[in-house]
Parts: sequence; structure tokens; C-alpha cells
Amino acid sequence: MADLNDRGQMLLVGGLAVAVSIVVLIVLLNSAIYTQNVATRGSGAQADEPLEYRAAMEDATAALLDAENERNYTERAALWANATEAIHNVSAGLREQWVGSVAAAALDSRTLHNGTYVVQNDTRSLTGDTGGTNWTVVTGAEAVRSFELNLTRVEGETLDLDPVNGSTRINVSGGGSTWQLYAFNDSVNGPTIAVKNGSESTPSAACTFDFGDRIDLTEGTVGGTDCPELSFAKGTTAPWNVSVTYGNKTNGTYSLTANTTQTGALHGPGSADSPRWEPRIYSADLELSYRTPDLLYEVAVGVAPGEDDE
Amino acid sequence: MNDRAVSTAVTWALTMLITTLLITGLLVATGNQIRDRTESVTRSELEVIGQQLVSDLSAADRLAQSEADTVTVQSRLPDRVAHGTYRVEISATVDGTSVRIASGNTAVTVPMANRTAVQNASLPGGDLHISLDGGILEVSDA
Repeated sequence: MADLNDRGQMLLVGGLAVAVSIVVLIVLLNSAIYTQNVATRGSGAQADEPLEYRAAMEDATAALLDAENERNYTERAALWANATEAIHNVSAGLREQWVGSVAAAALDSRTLHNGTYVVQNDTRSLTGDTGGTNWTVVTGAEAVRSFELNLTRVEGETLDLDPVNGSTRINVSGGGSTWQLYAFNDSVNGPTIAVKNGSESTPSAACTFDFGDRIDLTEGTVGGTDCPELSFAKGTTAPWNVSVTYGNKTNGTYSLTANTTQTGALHGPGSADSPRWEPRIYSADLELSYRTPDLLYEVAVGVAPGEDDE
Repeated sequence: MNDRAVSTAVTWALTMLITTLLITGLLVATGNQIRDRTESVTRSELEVIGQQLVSDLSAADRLAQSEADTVTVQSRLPDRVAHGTYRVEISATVDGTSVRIASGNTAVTVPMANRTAVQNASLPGGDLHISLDGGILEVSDA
């Protein structure tokens, strides 16, 4: 027989082992509950907010540059100062909006690019400010957008390059070659445009048009429909010089926006005469950053107002 | 007369036997239960960790796709699971990218849909750092 004092030891040890097992099970159960809790929480890093900030900044800047450009400033300095201040204000406003979500949304740097708007809104021949038939519109343009022609009269029945019979041509030269758009009156098809790409030596007929149709050189459309042969400045490289030859052979209106400050035979800003130029902000380069404890996002965004309008 | 007091000894022996059987049975059952629970809890934890990492990688992927210059994301993950420490393996194959989280004999694979390439990696569990380097997402120890 065992000592009387040893009685019940097995029960004690067994009970202890079972108790320990129960404690371990409870710890595991706790882990399971915690895991379920974590699983239902949102993830630490969310891509939505930084992308939202970027989109908001991009849209707001595009809208305000549009608005500033439409105010028809007569001086570049005033336009520049107001656009800079407006972007600063937009950035400050958005920064405050994101402070609530423990995020630092910042505009780290901004670079504005001066542009020039050229317009002839009186229907007249496509000649320069003093009536020159062969004249320069702008030079050194890094980019051109919204180049629209609206013709009401064309002369020159053939693609003949002869000055007497020649038709009006718009020349875009850059990188040692020249892209040309001819507007002439085809004896069979009526008013027609022809295009000479930079790599070609002769023009070929592209599309016909009716007087009053909008010919969009940069979009490649005539009267709103696609003109596949019309591909702006194909075969040439920026910076471009834009000029007109035999402007007296055609009447109409036009406008374009170029990323340059060098203008040719044009009236100055504030003039009511055509053709004239006005200062514009062509585009803005923004460097944005968005920081939270878990995330850093930096991006460079180019904003060119009006480029996506059509 | 020799049989006197035998019944006390038999009773005692029987009691001991039954008690031993009962306690052994209880211990074996709870031991198995603990092993099963540990594996099931570990699996759940690995699944959640894998999904969180994939979620952070997807966020970095989306940001990288927006022509970003810099993208860094901190993925905050636990150091241990029920079974102990764990490892994270990120592998990109022609079939797609997947994240494999393994602890002991338990492993969970979470597939991810990504557009930015992800660098293969094998790392110990814990906080991870996701960064965009040369158009590729790299995952490293935080």
C-alpha cells in the first residue's frame, strides 16, 4: 500500500494537466478571434486617397489654367503671377482637406510653360498683320494644340507649286523637314485639303470639305469626321516654326495655341485686329507627394488645359 | 479467513485503473484538440497575413501604374502566428504572382492580380517594406 500522504496525487496531476490544456485552448481561441478581427479591418495602405488627391489637383489646375487663359491678359507677367497664385491656393485648399485623414498632401514644385494663342476671328485672307502673303505665325513651338481652320474661300485648282496658280499652304517645319497643308479648289471634288508629310516631296489629296467646316489640324478631323491622312506635323520634330505661304489665296478664320513666346507677323495682345496673339499658360508641370505613416507616393503630373477637350 | 480484507484491495485497484484510464483519455483528447486548433488558427492567421500583404502590394501596384516616381508602402504584419514564426515567399511566374505564407507544416498561398512586376523574395515574417525600384515592386524587411 502506498503511503497515506500520497493518495490523490494522480488526480491532482491529471487535473493540472487538463487545466493547462484548457488555458492553451483559450489562448488559441483568443488568437482566432483576434485574427477574425484583423481580417475584417481595412488594410493599412490604401491607394484610393493618393490617387484621388492627384486627380483633384490635376483637374483643379487644368480648370484654373483654362479660366486664367480665357481672361485674355495683355501681359504675360500678370497671367503668370495670377496662375501661380491660383495653383498655390488650390494646393493649400486640398492640403487642408487631407489633413483630416492624417495625410500630408503637398505640391512640391510647379513649373509653368508660357504659350501663345494666335487667332484670326475676322473672316479675311490668311495674310499677316500687314497683309504679307508669305509670313511666319510662330517660331520655336515645342508643341501646338487646337489648331483650327475655318475656310470660306479657296483658290488654286491644282497642287501646282507655281506662285501664280498656287494654293494657300500652312507650313510646319522642324527637324530639317517641313509638313504642309494645302487648301485648294479641286475642279471635280470642290474644296479639298492636301497634306505633304515631312518625309514626302509632293503633297497628296487628303479630304474634301465644305466652306464653314472646321478643319482641326491637331485632331486630324474635317467637319467633325476623322481625316486619316491629316496627321499634324508628321515626319517633323519639335520645335516647330509655323508659317503661311500664299495666304492671299484663301479666306477664313483660324486659331491655334503654341508652346512658345516667339511670334511672327501678328498684332499684339489687346488689339482688335486679326491676326493677333495673346499670352497663355500652355501647360503646367506639377510634382505632388502624398504621405501617411504607411505610405509615400510621389508623382510628376503634366497639366495641359484644353488638350482633352475634343 | 484468508479472503478477509481482499475486497478493499480490489476496490482500490479498480478505482486506480478507472481513474488512470479516464485521465489518460482526457489528456489525449485535449492534446489532439490543441493540435487541431493550433493548426486551424495558424491557417486562419496565415490567410489573413497573406491577404493583407497582397492588399498592400495591390495598393503599391495601383500607385505604380499612375506613372509615379516614388511609391513606398509599409505593410504592418505580426511577428508570430499561433504556431511560431513564419516566412513570406513572393513568386512571380508566367501564371501570375502569388504570395506564400508558411509556418511549420501549414502553408497558405494567396494569388494576386498585378500589372507592375513584383520581385521574387523570401523573407521572415514581420513588418515588410514595399518600394518601387526601376518599375519593379520590391519587398524587403522593414
